[in-house]
Amino acid sequence: MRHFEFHQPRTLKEASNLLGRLGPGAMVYAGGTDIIPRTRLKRLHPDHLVNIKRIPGLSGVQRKGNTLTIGALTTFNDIIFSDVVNSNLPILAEVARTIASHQVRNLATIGGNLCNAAPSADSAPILIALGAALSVCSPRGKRRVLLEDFFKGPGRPNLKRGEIVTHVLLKKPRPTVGCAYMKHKIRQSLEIAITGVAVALDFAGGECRDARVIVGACAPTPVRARQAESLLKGSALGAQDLAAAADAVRKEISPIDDVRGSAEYRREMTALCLKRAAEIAVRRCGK
Amino acid sequence: MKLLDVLREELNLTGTKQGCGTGDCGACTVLMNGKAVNSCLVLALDAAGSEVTTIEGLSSKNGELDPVQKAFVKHGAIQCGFCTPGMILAAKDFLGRIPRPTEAEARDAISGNLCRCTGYAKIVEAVVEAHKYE
Repeated sequence: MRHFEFHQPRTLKEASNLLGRLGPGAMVYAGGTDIIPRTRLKRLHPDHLVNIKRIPGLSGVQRKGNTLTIGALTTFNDIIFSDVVNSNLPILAEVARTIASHQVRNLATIGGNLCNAAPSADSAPILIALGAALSVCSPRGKRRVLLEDFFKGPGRPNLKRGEIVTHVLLKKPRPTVGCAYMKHKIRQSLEIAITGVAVALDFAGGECRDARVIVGACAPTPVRARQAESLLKGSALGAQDLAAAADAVRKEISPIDDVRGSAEYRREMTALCLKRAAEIAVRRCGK
Repeated sequence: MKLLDVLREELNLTGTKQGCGTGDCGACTVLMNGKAVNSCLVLALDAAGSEVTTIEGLSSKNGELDPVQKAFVKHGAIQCGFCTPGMILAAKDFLGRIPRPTEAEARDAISGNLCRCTGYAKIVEAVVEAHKYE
């Protein structure tokens, strides 16, 4: 394995100063489930790893009023077993269960999943659908960025040197909102999405008041399918409305051909996943 | 250095196996603070201060096997044996939360572990029945 220096700062300030000082060869280390195998396979070449797990206050899910705060170091199993998640936003636990394996979910963090900026990151589409924002800390202070604006390309998060994502912030949706995530995969576990569609629908009185459709693994970043959203919005969410949105989403993504599927296949499966996710989301509205 | 390398190469605890080395096969599963993790994905430095249980540490001090181990023996849930330590530790973590799993739950319990002999049927049986050996 490559030689690198391992730093274990105790405070955020110390960590972001270190990252600023060490330069581009330094990486934030959290769960390690991506950094370690990718370093071993010589796809990453870090000179310094800055372990942020010794910094207190970056783990766990809290609710204050209607706001849920998820620490960046919260693992996917923390999310699956969190009472706050299961009683307020169970869709997050449902999505977490689609990720990797139990062993990996005991290590992998939500902050790491987002900061890797993989187009197929399973946590991204649903969080964008829910309007999540990230709290980012640097030596210059704190800022907040909408997750929708966080991804610049594969492996390229919207972060400057020295910046560390500390929390994911989101509002508990209204009771009229229903959500679903449909991940298309061949295996039951340890699988990367061929396509993944998150849908959040606000449906009451027979009319869709708001709709969010986000597709992962089908473009350089997760994609918000605005055309599909506008077709759902204002409709009665009948079979024809879902079919129209599914038809529209094909043109809103730019998938590639790779070992997991051809671009053409991904377009078809994305349309199907959108339809199925929307059907599930509608049934969850008002519950 | 990874936790797996320290266990095998420095401490000579070779019960923990290295399969893929990338977190996909589960052969290197150990318990870290009671939770199943792939020891090939943990830096040894990062495990400092944690309690790590390998397959060598699962039986009691007088050598009596853990109930999960007994169930694996009784059900012949073993072929070449390479995946067995990882399977048992994954099952151990899972059975701590769900002591009497259904067959579907038992399959889920070992879904992070590959058996290269494809001998899953007896492993699932052993996980379902493990509570009987308490």
